[in-house]
Amino acid sequence: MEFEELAVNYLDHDISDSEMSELNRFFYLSPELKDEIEDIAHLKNNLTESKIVLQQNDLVFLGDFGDRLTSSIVNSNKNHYSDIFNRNKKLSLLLLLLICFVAIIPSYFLFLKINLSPGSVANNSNSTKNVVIKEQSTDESSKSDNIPQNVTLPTPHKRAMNKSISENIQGKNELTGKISERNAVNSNELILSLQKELSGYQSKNDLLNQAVTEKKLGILLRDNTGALGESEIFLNKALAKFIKLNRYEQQAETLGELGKLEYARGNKSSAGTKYKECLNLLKSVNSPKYSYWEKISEKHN
Amino acid sequence: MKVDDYINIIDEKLFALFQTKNDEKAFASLYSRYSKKILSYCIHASKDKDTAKDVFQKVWLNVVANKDKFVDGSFIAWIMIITRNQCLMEKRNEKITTTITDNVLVSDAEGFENSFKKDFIKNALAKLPDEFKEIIELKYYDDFSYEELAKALNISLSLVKVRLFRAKKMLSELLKNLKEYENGI
Repeated sequence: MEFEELAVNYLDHDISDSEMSELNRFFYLSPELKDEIEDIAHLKNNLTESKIVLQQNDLVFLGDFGDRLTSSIVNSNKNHYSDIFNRNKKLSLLLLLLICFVAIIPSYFLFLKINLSPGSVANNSNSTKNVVIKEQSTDESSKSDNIPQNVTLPTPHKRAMNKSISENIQGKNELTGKISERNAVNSNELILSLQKELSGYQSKNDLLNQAVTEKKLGILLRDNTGALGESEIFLNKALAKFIKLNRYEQQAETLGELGKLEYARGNKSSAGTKYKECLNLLKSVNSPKYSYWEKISEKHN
Repeated sequence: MKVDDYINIIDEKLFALFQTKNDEKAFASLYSRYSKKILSYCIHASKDKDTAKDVFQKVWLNVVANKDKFVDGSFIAWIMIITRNQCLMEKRNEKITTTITDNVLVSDAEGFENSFKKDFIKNALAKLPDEFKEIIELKYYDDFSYEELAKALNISLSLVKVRLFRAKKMLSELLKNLKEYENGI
């Protein structure tokens, strides 16, 4: 053991007999070491006296800071899962879409099968599968003009249903084409009925309902027919009326719709201006719709 | 786990619990073990208590923010490195300003004597090489045990004692004037 180590143990009063005899040997060889140790023993008192002792307020500070730090860790634990979601937002959304796709598509076809199969309408007592097999066999037999006695001929209604099934199964494109055609017809009908309603409100001089209908027309024209010019005219008319009537929330929403219109035109900057006006107005009236428009604005920026 | 269960767990295991499970109780346990020592170190290394408290907060915030950077070794050595660096950064940033400290405002004779002694020792400590100054401060001001010193400085226990003895010897030489003053020579 080195002299320094022994000396430290001696000064700490933590020295064994064997260590003490070893230290004595050092003292015997160099007597000045004893003085050195005495000086150092004196130093210990000076150091202890000059120590800065933590005051009560320091201890309070330590406690407060520790509590704040620990509670921030607890809060971060609470936000852990939402953080994971936020960090992997794209991945999570993709996963969600995939789940929806997996869940919806088979149920859609199941829906088609149940609702459009002839068995479900004409012969509820039989299972769908049996009916389909029966229908196929009867069709084949009718083609060959060799009708077995034990098989009943399909009724004209069943034939029509059967045809519709085969049409539906023919191809997705055909089906979606029909749906979009029907939508177009529906939106044209809706536009016509809204225009009728509007002329009714105009004759009654009902400004609020005029504005509401004009706004609806503007949205419909923009989203379903793509007539952006006409849509803008209706939306601006609606906006003017809402301003006149001091309807701040509706004013803001119409501005937002105009923003969407500008975005559809590809004018991102003017869309941004409209959204900004819309958000400012919604904020000033503390509207709950603010968050919706904020999301739209963020999405389009 | 209950709070009492953390008392007997070693620092590194506690910190691993905090790292992997964000266990706030494990962190609180570490904080209670070392907060006083770290604050005391910051006070001795800084010009005033307010600065020391700022540095202290930065140290612990750094510990939380960089918890994943601690891979192996001793926790106390790691936190001491953070504390030392933080104190050095603070010193670099601090502007030279003259402030009236509490010591100057002491009016009575005994208070003056104490204040003089403290200043004298402080000045002597400042003259020591960094490794000697640090070990003395950690031992006598921040109440580190020999084992903690070994871990914090990443040296063996016997080297701690050797270094401490040499530091004290050097300090004792520097303080000879004080001894003479006290003996009335």
